[in-house]
Amino acid sequence: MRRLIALLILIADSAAAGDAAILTQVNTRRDVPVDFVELRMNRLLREPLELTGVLVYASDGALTKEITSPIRESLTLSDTYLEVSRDGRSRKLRLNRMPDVTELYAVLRALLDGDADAIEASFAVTSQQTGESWSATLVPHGMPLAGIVTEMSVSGRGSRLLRIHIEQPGGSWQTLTITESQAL
Amino acid sequence: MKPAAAELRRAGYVGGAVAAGMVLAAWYILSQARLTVDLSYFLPPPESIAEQILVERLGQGPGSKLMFIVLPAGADASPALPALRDALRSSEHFTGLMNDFASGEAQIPDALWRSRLLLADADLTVDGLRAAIRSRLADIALLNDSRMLDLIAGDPAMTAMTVLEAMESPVELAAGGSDRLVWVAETRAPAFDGNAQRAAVDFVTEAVMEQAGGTPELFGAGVYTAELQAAVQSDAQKRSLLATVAIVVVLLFAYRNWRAVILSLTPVVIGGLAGAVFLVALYTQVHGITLAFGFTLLGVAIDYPLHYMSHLPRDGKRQALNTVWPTLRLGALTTACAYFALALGGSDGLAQLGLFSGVAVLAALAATRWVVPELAVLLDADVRPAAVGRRISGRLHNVVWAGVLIVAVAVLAARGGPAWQSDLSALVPVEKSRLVRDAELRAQWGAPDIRYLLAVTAPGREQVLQATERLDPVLAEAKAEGFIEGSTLVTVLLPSRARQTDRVARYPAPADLQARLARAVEGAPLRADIFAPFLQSVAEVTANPDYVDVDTWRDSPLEDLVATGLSERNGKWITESVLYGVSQPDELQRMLDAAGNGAVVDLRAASESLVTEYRERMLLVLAVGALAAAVLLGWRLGSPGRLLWVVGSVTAAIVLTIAVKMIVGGSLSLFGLIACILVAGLSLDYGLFSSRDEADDYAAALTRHAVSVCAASTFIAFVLLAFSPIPVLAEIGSTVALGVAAAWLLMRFGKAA
Repeated sequence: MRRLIALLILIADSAAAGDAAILTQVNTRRDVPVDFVELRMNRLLREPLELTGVLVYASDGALTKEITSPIRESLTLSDTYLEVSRDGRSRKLRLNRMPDVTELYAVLRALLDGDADAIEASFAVTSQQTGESWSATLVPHGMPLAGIVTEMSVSGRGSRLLRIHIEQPGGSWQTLTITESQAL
Repeated sequence: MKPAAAELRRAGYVGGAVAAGMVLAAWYILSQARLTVDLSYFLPPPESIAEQILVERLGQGPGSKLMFIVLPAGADASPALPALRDALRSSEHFTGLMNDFASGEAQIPDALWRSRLLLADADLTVDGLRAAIRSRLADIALLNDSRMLDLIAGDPAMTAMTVLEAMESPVELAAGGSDRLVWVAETRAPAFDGNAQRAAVDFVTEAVMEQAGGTPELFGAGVYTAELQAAVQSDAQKRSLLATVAIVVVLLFAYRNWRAVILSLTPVVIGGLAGAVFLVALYTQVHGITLAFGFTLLGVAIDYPLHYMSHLPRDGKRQALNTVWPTLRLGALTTACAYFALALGGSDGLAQLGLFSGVAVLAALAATRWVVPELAVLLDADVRPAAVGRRISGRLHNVVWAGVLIVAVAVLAARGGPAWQSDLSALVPVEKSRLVRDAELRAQWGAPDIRYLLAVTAPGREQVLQATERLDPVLAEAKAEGFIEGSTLVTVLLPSRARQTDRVARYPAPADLQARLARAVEGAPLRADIFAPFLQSVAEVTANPDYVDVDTWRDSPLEDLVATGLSERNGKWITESVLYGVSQPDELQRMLDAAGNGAVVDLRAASESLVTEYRERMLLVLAVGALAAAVLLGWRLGSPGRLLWVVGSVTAAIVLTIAVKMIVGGSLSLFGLIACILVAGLSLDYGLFSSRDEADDYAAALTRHAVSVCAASTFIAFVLLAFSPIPVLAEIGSTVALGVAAAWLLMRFGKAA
């Protein structure tokens, strides 16, 4: 009987809190390119800007986003720098100059690796799970992240992260969706 | 022999008056003196453009004020990092953190944003705008935040970013590089201001210790200045104390009367105070080097009372003065004459050095004449000179000095003349490994080349700016050839008026531009009306252009760069532009020659040529001083034989010193040369006394005693200096010690037994 009560409490707890624990199931494969579609919207745009391309989460931790349409641009985010290649020119910017980008990079890696503790350190998390599908809403605790993210919602299925939606200050937002057949 | 009460009373009055005078003088000096450490104050007037730039930039150049702060391991993860950054950024010691400036986090300076339309060309054809808009979509794909959106709306062609990129170091930043976080800060004070740099270093060290829990490693010209100054101060203090103790021990041994020791130090103190009072009254600023070298040259005055002391046992307090006075007066006047000649050296610093040492020597002479004998009655016991030897025959012969002179000249001739040390950095003790790390950090951060810069001259302001702009393609070619890694012309921030009016003229009318933008936006998801801020700016600049000049940048982070970039000297306008990674300066100069303007300024070569000119000027001044001294000697000495012996011996002592320095050290620096001036003064003193006609054997033995005590005390004091780890002090110490030894030996053996 005691055991049953304990179990019930546990279940009730997880359903009510809907915390970051749900994110621990995410486990992203490394070095496997996946297609993505991203919509970005802001006050300058008439309609959302649709970007498509390929994402790679490399085994050394670097995240590469290769945009192929409507423009060509490649971004690589690693521990120490952000590299931007456009029109055959590439520029490396050291991340220690950009604390907000550094923290966003850490958050993305934590999401891809299912590191719930790291996420909770930066965000207040509420989550839901239906069968294999899950979703979570992340609100940053404070600066510097709050300067570029008002709210983040992520969703996926099982160990795969499929969608990241970011609301930004000033009404901008962006939604990145992974084609499910080859999910991260 | 007990002194009469009247004599004692008189001595009390004199002593009291002297002490009061000293206190008053010290108070005046301390309250009025304003010390400067500005090296340019001490250098002669620069002649070439390169030297002018060097002197003006001494420690002021864009790269020289950078301080590289390597944070302790693990500081990246410290939650206190933002607080530390704010502490450094808002500190009074720094103009800012350079890392911020080139970063995405940094703002575009207001002045740059306001003037962006005048600072860069933009392709405003429909095709050009279409290409720009595609790039702006890529910018949105990179960063979808407010700052980026404002930038796009106000500046679709990104001219402000073009200007910033043109000013950025072309040097590729190392990807991984150090695992430690490096910040680059720019100090407010110039690199040579040791006290201000010390304060900045202390501030950073303390702030990093407090916030990041470890000691930072610091690199940069200012850091070395601070360390050098601290090292010189502590070492000089330690060695001065040791030297004083050594001199006191020698004097105690020589006279066996501690009051005599104190009394014999009085003239040099009075001399120093008098010289300093004179300078403070005459100049608004006194250079630190003046005082340091001035007190070195004043070392000769320690000898004056010693001659008197040595003769006390034979002649008594009154007569001893009469015995030594004529020789003493001639020696001191001759020395003062040579010292005053330094004042003709042409720079304020040298003038101060000459006046200080000349006045101080005269004051010390006066003190020996009028103060010391009055106070001598206070010596409660008789002075009993120790180690007074037998009399040496007074017959002078010229074989010794002539032989030594011939050998020393032959040695110098065989080495192709004296080798001069013109590279002042050789005297700055910075560990090699730190300089290597310094160079690495500079390369990693793309700091400007600190040795080379590009100067362009023209008769007028507009002309020089236009001439500089014309070098754009030349520098691009030099970069393509690999002669340089890049350049930032000052005209990026200060375009010529011609170029600015040309840019204004090329902006389309607002209605036309609006139509072009509307066509360029077709097919892109952008709203057509978003460029209102840009159209507004174009309308303003075409209707009423606020042309860019030096004042545009006042109070902006770019102010320094612009202010040092354009200047007028003697009716000539000069621009100075930054070069990066200069590997083949001669090739670059050849290309500039072909283009008809522009000079690669090699600051190191300029510093060497400046030192060379300085030395030549000083040698000339010294020759004048030596001639004046010789004329004075010839007139007062009366005996041609004695004149020949004294001048010959002094010359041989100096040439021998230089020859030995060449063999042992390889070269002689400016500081060595100044030390040689002291050697001349000292050996003249020894020579004059050694060549005197003495009344009897006892008098001759006492004179020799005095010369030996003088030589021994000076020798010991400067030997202590010679072992200093600070090259400047060691150079002065070894030169003077060698010179004193040479002079003493020459005078001793220049007389037939």
